[in-house]
Amino acid sequence: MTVFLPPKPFIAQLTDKLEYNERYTQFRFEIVGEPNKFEFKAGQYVSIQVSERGERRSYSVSSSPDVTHALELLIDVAPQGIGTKFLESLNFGDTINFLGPLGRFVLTPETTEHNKPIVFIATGSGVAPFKSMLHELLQIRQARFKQEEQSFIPRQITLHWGMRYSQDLFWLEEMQDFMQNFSNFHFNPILSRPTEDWSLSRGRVTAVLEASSLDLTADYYLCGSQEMIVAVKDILVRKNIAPEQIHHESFY
Amino acid sequence: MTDDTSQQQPFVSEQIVGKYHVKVINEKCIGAASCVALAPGTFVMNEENIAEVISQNGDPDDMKLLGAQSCPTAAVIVTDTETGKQVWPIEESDY
Repeated sequence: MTVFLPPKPFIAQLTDKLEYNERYTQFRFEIVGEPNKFEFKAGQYVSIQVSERGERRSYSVSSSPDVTHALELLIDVAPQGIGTKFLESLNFGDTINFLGPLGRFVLTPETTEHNKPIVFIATGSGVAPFKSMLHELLQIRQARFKQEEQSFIPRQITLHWGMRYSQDLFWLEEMQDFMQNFSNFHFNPILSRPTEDWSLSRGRVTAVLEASSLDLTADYYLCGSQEMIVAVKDILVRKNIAPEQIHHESFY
Repeated sequence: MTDDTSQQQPFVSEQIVGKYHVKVINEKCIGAASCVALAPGTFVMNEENIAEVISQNGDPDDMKLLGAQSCPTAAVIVTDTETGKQVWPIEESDY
C-alpha cells in the first residue's frame, strides 16, 4: 500500500524559466522559508494559489523526487488561463504559495516491487509526471539496484508521447540522455502533424497503440486529456490488458 | 429495530459545526483526491474513486475551503450556511 505524505503549505521563489517554444515553458522554483524541504512521490502535483481571491491551479512536478529544495513545473501556456497568466507574470525572485504534495498518480508498489515492464503514454504536457517517474525509476532506483546486485536485470520502460508538431517537442536532450545511459529505456515521440522529414512515429497515439503488439505483463500509466485517457484505456482493455494494470491522471 | 439511525442515515443526524457546508459534484470529480489529502475528516474516496463527504464537521472551515480550492476540476462546492451564499467556486456575479 502506498503511503502519502500529508500536504503542507510552501513558499517558493522563481529561479529559472525555460521557454522551450511558443507553447511550453518550464518554471523552476526554489523552496524558501519553512518548511524548507519539499518531499513528494514522482507523479504527484502541487496546487498553486494564482489569485488573491484564492483561486488555485494544479501542476504536476516534473523534477526528480530526489531534489527536495526545488521543483520544476512544465506548463502548457497556450490556454492563457488564470494559472498560466499568473505564472507568466512572475519575475525572477518572486514567490508563490503552494500546497503539496497532492495526488495519487504514482508508481504503485505492484509495479515497482515486481520489476514489471512499464509503458508510459502521454500527450502534450501530460508527459510532465512521467519525467519525474523516469528520474525515480532510472536515476534513483535502477542506479541503486545496479550497485547492490550484479545480476540485476532492468525492466523495460517505454514512453509513447503524442504531440502535434515537431516544434512543440521539448526535453529531447533529457530523453536522449536517459536512452544513452539506460538501454532499457525506449522513447517514442509520435507526431500527428509531422513534416515530411519526420522519420519517427506518425499519427495519433491511439492509432500507434492499435497497430502495436502490447506487453500483457506491463503496467500502463496514462496522462493527458480526458478524451485521450478514455480512448487509450479502451484500446488497452480490448487488447487484454487487465484494468488493474492501467493507471491514469486526467486533469490535463 | 433500534433508535440508532446513525448507521442507516449517517448524514441526516449530523450537526453542522462550522459555517461552511461542502458538496461534491460527482460528475466533475476525477479522483485526484486533493480534498481528501487536505480535509481527511470531511472527504473520503469511494470505491469508484469519487470523492464523498463523510462529515460536515470533520475539519475546520479553512481546511474544507482549501480542499475545495485545490480540486483541479472545481468539483467541490462550498456554501456559507449563515448567509446561504456560495463561497466556492466564486460565482461570476461576485466578480
